[in-house]
Amino acid sequence: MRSKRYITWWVLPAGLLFLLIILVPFITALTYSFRAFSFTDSTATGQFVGLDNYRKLVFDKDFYNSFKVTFLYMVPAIVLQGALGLIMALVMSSAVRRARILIPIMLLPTLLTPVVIGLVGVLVLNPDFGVLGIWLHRTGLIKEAVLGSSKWALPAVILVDTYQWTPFVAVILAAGLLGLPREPYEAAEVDGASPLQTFFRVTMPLLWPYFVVAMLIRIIDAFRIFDIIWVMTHGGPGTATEAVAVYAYRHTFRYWDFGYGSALIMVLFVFISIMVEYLYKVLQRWQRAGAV
Amino acid sequence: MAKIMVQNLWKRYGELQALQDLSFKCAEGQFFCLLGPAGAGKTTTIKIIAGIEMPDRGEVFLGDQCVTDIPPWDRDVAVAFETYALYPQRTVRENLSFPLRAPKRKEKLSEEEIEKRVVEVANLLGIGELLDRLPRQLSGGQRQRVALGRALVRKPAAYLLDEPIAHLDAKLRHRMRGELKRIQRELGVTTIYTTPDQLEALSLADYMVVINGGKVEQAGPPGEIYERPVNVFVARFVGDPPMNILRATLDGEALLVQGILRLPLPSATQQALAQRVNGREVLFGIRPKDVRVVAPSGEEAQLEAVVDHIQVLGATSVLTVSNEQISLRVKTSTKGAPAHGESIGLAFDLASVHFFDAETEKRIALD
Repeated sequence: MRSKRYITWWVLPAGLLFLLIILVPFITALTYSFRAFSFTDSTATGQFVGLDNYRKLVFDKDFYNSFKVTFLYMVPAIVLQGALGLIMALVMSSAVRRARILIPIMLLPTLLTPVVIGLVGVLVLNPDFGVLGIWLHRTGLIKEAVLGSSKWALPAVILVDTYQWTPFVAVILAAGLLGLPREPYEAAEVDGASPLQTFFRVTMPLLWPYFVVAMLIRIIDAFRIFDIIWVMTHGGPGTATEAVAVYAYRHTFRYWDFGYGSALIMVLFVFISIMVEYLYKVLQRWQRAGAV
Repeated sequence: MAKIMVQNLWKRYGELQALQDLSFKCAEGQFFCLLGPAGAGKTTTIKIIAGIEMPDRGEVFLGDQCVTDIPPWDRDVAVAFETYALYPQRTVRENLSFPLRAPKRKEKLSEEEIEKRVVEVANLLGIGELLDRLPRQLSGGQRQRVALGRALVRKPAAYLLDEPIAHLDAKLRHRMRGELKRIQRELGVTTIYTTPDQLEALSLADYMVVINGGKVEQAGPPGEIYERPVNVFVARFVGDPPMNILRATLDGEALLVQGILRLPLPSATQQALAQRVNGREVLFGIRPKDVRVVAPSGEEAQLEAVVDHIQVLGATSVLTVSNEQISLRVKTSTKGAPAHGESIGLAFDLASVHFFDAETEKRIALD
């Protein structure tokens, strides 16, 4: 094959870009995690300290707290987004053709950057002039400022995150629904299945691969949540909304402790890698199994 | 058990006119075959009778009742889908038993009765061992048998079987044909069966309808359709290998085929034909089995030709033979068949020949 001679040149631009913006920072962070390197500590000038940073991490209560916060945010958010996304997808796929022009509008939150969505959340929840904040205050449901409350700040983050990502789940599921074969539905009709039976016997099993993929993408994404939280609460009040990525950011760019911050990020990286590996395996399995 | 009648069915899918004024009657307890090539409208017809699709125009009668506006679950028909349409997350047993349990069904059976029927049908179809498997663990042929079983497990007013054995291997298909015929006779349930395979239709049907392009071409018992096809389409579609259709004119007492072959006709046939065609060109149809291979330039030889192609079908072979004016398919026994490229003579048996109008391609009836 003659084209093989030029393959290096074709791959080069993408390869360089990958090297510059992914591989170099990654390796830098990896090496930092084995060094004592901090702007605020004059003795930590980048010398190699082996696993010291990781040892510190094992005994860091705040680190465990950040994992707890990540899970406390992730589990309800994923469940909510899965359930609401499914309902939204069912509505979207059953909508008459003319109503489908509304679908792009429903997608708007997903298309915006999380920072903007986070700011919208801050505005809406403001107790003095936010629509929801004023209402919550007046009805007495939540008396304190929502984002200033260690009890309500995390639910608020979950809500805003759900607002942003439910349409994303819905689009994947709606695409799946529109592609499902019609015959099993026809068979269910002839068999005399109830709507609920049809949903559980036909729709859910056939839609399951799409559901798993949407949920896995969201879980991987949720692990590294940073921007919405940073904009809304900076991880506070206290450490109430301090997810792993937020905690790592605080150490790196607030305390300027690059060594420890990098070690934190490496742990997060391992977790996310495991999830990605799993997602890849699931996708492969679906591909091999094919449609039933 | 009920007779089934469809009247003037029209159905359009976007640009495609699937059915055009389709009507037929299927008597009570009949094994009724709907024969047609792919895209003829067979599946659409089945779906309309089942109530899954609504016709744009026309009526469906089940028994004496017009059921056009009745939903599928109230029609008391059982459908075997060509595409299987099994419930993916349910075992074979659950797939088979669901039609007996579904809440919208009036007949209520005890668990033992359900299990008994499921096992009965599964054994009948040779899938008794597979009851606890999931559809995705089955081969295509096994899935198709489950799909068929899901219909047979019930005792409805009518079975609607849409190419139910098309995906089985040849041997099993042959056995299932016999089984289906036997089951249908025993149960006496009115059955509409679609197939693109003319041999299957001929061997199974009490009565059959040939459809093409959403229209009925011919309806009748298999024998009649084979013996007296009403037009060139049916003549070519039913019977394998397909009938030879050749251009011919009457030339005195004889028929001049493709300007080269002179066939002396019996005088009654010749007179009847002369009356109807009035000197115009006709289409002359003769089945490959009615052309014999004889020695070239022998006494019997009415035509000489060269063998272009040989297709061996076991004991018989189909030859494609030609000379400059004419090309024919000939069925002959494999033993003693001529070789490729060999010159042969052909003799024509005129006991069962067919004539069609050259323009309308309709049968010219001579009796």
